[in-house]
Amino acid sequence: MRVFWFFLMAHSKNTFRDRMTLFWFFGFPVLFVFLFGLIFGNAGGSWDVRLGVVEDARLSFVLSVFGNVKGVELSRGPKEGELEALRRGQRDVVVVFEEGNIVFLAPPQGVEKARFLSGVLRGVLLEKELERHGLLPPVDVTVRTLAFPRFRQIEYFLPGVLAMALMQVGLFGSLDFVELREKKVTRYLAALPVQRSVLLLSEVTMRVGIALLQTVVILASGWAFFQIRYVGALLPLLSWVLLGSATFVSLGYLLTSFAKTVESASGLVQMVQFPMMFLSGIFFPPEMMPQSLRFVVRLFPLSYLGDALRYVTVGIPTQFDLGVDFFVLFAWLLGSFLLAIRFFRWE
Amino acid sequence: MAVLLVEDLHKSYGPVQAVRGVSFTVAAGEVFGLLGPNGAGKTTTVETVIGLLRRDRGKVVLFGLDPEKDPLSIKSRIGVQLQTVHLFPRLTVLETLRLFGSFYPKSRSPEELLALLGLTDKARSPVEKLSGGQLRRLSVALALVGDGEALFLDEPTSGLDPQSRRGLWEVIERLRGEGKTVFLTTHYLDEAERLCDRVAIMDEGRIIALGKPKDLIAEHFREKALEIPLAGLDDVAFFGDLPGVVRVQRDEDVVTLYTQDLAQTFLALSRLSEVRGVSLRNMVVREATLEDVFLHLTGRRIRD
Repeated sequence: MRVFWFFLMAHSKNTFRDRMTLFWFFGFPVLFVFLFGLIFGNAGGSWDVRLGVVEDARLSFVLSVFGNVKGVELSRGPKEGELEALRRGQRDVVVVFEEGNIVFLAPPQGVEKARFLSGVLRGVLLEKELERHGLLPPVDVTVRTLAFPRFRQIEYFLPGVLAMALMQVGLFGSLDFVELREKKVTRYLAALPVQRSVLLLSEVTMRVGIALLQTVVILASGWAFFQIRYVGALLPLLSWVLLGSATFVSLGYLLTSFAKTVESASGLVQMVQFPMMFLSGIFFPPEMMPQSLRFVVRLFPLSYLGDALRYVTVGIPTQFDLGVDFFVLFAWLLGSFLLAIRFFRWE
Repeated sequence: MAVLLVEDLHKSYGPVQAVRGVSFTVAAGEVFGLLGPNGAGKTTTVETVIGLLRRDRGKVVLFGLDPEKDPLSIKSRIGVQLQTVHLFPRLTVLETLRLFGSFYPKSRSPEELLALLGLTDKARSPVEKLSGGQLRRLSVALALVGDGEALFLDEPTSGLDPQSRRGLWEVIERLRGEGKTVFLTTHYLDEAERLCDRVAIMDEGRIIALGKPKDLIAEHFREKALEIPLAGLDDVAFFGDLPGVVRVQRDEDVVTLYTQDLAQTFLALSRLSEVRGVSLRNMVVREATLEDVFLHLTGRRIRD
């Protein structure tokens, strides 16, 4: 146990004294959050309204009213589809016809836009009716706030950055071990009265510690820069972070056991991590990908980690269902853990 | 009592036979040197003896145990310094010593070791900032930190400047004074001669001579050596006809005469210098050394 602590301290000092490592593990994800947030994320910056109009003959005049209004982006579809789009944050406001009323549906942050639109509509209708008969319109216009929130881009994106950071620590972190092996430190240890597994155990422990620290830093940066509110409980979040980092640490050791030098190991890791970073839907929803590429999303463990993290941090509904996320990640963990043991080499 | 017994040790790497039938013993409190050129099989022998490599054939008994079968109890009783040591690069020298000290049941004070090896002012430097010589001295300090009864030092002075080398000799003398058993390899003959109680001269995987340095020299050379620098002289065989000369060794542009009767040989040489025009200006007279023994046994110089 004493040796374990000494090793753990040695690994930690060795890692935290390396500025490049610190940048890649902490600075880079935060920078990512910050830049992405600046470009896409901050809500309320624009007054453009994405208005969904439910297909209904009685609402066709709404289209003609808003068709020429600048800053209103119109779309039209069946009720279910438009509501789903609203839930996913692809619409700001949806207009439906319910029991003789024209109803503007909006999430809390879209209420002002809905009021604005209903005001415009009321004014236009009134004018038209007065012109014709001097009578009030037969339909009333109401605004109803919906319970489900609309998510900002940054809220989708930030859990993705967390998933990416966990992946990086897992995959790139194992290069340290390759270096020790390449420089024969691990071989040398065989001549000393110490179990070499202690070295490995302390390294993995430090890696998981870094993962937890990353979680704090990244979530805090989202809160500080973009006032993201986190809805999940701590325990589920912690469990998913641990599961994710364990999976990628195992995968990292598995990959690097096939490399002799740090250079080749680094190449191998990059070959795996780059496609995964961009094709697992952690930065943008898979709907934005071409149809032909969407199936790969389902192959990568990162997709499922991102999916689960989005749910447990900001509450975005899962794409695959939490049970599926857990099952697939756990399968990846088990598989890479067993194979990593099978192919492990000290020298 | 023998701390280490090696009998008929064999080790090959694929088709390369690195060690072919090596036998020797090392007694408690002895400084034992394995001497030979690079590639002679010294490192392979050390690594097999401490159980880092598996031997193909033969017997190794260290502290009464087989290092392949009972490693942990043996490892805490020995200190090992190996040729290639790279540590955690951003750990300081002092931190590294403390880490390694934590592996052993009892350990020496890191500060004392730093002073002993002249690294005190480097205590807070990261290991990656050390020079080659400083790294080598740190690797020796790491071998000593566990306060083992037997120390295995593989080329402890290679790559050191002359001053550090002398410093390390003092360290080894001191270990001898403390009653430690020291097993070291070197390709410096003067070092072996000066430090070791006994040496084994190794060449091409075999031990070709074994004994106290003085005995080895006496066994192979009762003569004195005369070194004469020559320029442009092809035939040196005539030196063998001089009185007292028993052997002539040509080595590039230096010829070495081994003589039983220095006075007679001198006299004859001075006459010869007039007749043949041989310049005796830079002639050196010395006792025979282990270098001569190696040259005699292999026909080569050790650092070729």
